[in-house]
Amino acid sequence: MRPGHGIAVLAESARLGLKHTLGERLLLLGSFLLYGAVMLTYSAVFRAVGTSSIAGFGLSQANLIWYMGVTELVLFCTPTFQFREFQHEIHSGDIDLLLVRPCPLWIVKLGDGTGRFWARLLVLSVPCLTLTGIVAGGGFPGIGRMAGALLCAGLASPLLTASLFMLGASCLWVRHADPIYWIWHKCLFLLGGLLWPLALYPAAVRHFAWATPFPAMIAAPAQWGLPGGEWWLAAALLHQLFWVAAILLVMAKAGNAMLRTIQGGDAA
Amino acid sequence: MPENIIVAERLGRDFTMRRPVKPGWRGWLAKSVKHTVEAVAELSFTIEAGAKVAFIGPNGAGKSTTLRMLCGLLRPTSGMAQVCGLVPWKETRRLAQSIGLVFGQRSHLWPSLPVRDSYDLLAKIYDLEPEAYRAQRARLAAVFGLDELLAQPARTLSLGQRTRCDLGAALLHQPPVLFLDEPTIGLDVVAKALLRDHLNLLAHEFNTTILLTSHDTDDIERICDRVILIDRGRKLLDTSLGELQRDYNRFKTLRLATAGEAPAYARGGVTVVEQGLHRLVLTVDTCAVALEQVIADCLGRFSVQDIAIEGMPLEEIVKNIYATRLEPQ
Amino acid sequence: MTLPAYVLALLAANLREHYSNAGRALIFAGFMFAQNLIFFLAWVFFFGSVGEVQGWRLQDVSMLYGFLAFAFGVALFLCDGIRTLPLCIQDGSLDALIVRPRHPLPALMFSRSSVSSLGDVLSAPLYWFVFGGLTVDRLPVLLGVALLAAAVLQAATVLTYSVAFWLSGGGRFSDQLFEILIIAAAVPQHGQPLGIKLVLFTAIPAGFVTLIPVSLMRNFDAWLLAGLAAAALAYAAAAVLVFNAGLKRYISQAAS
Repeated sequence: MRPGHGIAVLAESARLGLKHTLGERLLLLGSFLLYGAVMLTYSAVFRAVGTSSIAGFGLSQANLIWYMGVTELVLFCTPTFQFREFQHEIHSGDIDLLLVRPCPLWIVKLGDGTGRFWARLLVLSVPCLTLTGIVAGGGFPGIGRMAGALLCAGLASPLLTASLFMLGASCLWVRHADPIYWIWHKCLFLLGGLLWPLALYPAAVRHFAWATPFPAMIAAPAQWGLPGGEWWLAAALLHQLFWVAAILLVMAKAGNAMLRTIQGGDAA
Repeated sequence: MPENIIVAERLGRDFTMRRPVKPGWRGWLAKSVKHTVEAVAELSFTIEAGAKVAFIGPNGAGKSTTLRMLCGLLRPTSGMAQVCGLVPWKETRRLAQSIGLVFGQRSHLWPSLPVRDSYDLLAKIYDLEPEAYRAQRARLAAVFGLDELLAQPARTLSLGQRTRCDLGAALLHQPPVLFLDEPTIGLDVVAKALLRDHLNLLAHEFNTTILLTSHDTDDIERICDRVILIDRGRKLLDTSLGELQRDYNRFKTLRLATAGEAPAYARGGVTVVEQGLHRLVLTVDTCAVALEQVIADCLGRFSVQDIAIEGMPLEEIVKNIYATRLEPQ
Repeated sequence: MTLPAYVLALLAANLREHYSNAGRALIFAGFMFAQNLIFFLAWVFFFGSVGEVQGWRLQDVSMLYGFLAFAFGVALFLCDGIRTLPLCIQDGSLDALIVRPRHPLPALMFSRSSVSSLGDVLSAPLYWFVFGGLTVDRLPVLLGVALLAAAVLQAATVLTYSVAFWLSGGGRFSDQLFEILIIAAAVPQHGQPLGIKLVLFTAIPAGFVTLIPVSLMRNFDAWLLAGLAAAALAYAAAAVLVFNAGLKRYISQAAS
């Protein structure tokens, strides 16, 4: 397959994913309400934290709120139900039609998921970050930093989409992939640093977390909402780029493994 | 002489299944045991370009398994096959460029988006030139009457409309071979008739090779010119539809409406198919007894109010073949 | 058949279904149990760094998670069917329940049981007794409070999914409203501003599901317990009223 062909398919499926999501107005509203609920409740917790206890980590209450503002935005832009849709496509046999095509299915799914993510980011970023600003009541990291956070959030989308694709595909081998998905989801929360910066974790856990792809999905974009040197942002970006390359490679391999499993009639 | 576009040689496929253990002490060790089921065995045939072939067989006969092997979705356990010169399960993506798939109750279309959007994506997936794509879409829209449907989201279409759109989707890249697995399943009578007309138009317009599986013998009669009958994975018969009907032309169906409440009839060469209130349906083997003789006999015995003579419908022919060929087993 | 006998028959059918696929049930419950613990580790690390949040320590948050896991688990293990309401409205399968001689709400609620929720129920004792520092002698009070919290959550779930009667295609929206309730209940609420607390004790009754139960375990107060029981009754009544209003609308629309 020509690289140009793959890129054209990726772009077209991303366009359709974008269009599909922009049509789901009620869901977008629901996502904003959920985001609001999370930010309002957790910001009260962060404001109740003693300033001296977090000052040692170089953090303020507003920093914690801005950090979470970005992590939750990434999470709410992630079309997690894509996992269930894909699992359903496999169980119902709809996957058959999608596999016998000249372009690998994983490219279509990657484009679709990325398109859906970017559509949500496009719609939700301004109202969500505005709400975060109101809730934080200060500590705005600056326009440049927020633009960096959004770009890195965009970079996290192929990582999240690829993970959801592989989790969905795993039902070919384990029949019901839901339990695996739950564990992945909670690892994403814990090791991705969803609720608070990884700096608050014990050193051993923090090092372990950064050795996994989860921070590249959530903590790396949110790092732009925290005070810190540019070198640290560059390292987080490199970490993301490494994991994007690695996971896309695994995704392509998983796509081929899927076809081989179905051809072998060995699906669970 | 037309070239063979599909070749299958001694194709076979086994499946490992689990079956519950009979009650007893073995049940304490395992609830089920593995066993092998032969879905397709020693299946050989060739199909020349432009042919319209039907695959007939009861549930579990191996029709869909064969179709899945031919389109690259299943690796056989034995034998070989080539479609358009490619081995399907080894060169699946290359082959995809040359085949179209329509599986009843499955769809190529995104439910929430207009059909046109799904077609646009498929055009990219099949790497079609924009001009060629637009021309083919217009052609398909004219053949299948899709103009009104292209702007509608797929989930708002009726099953018949969606199947037509799916047929269009399968043909966007002008594949020389089209695999249809139960394409009319779930459709009402009108939608079925419309789809069959469209498939005939398609065969005429694009000279596409069609391999069709269906439970509905009407589909086969209206679309196909050759029939392959299989049962328990093995080929029973491979013949042209015309020949099949000619072979069974000696059988005539006689439908009688009588004044008498319970008409009864028995004679050599005549089989009673149905016997009811004021009603009698007979199959007459014209090689054993003259049809005129049976009619005269009936007119003499019953007060006949209506009489109809029909050739044997394909469904009856197929039933008959299964009954005679599988008798020894 | 009386209503309790009818409900018991539905429950027994669900249990038989889980028993027929016991391996799957165990895996689902076990993984749910594990994922709850993974998530809770984030709070362990947080309190390890910040010590306390306005008087609340890890033990209090652990108790909170115990009540939430128990309420969520019981509600979904027994009555997960209510979450199929949007789909039943969409595909018309609600009609089959309406034409039965009984009220459709119990049939719908008990029509499905989420086996993974058993993992939530099983993780509650771990939160209460291992991380939360409660002793077994408080079990009677604990169970009473937890069951009342579960009743409030169940009623709120009926209210949330009844939204689908008014919003066509609102299944995912109802899911999101339900998630809001769970998220709000999973956060320490004692330090929330007054406006948010007002919401947490009215529109999103998360305060009754976790804050009041934790307060009762910290300092038992009979009046507070009575308040929780009254809230459970009030939300149950509201759930039945809203469901009936939605059902009336559904029937009148189907007739027109």
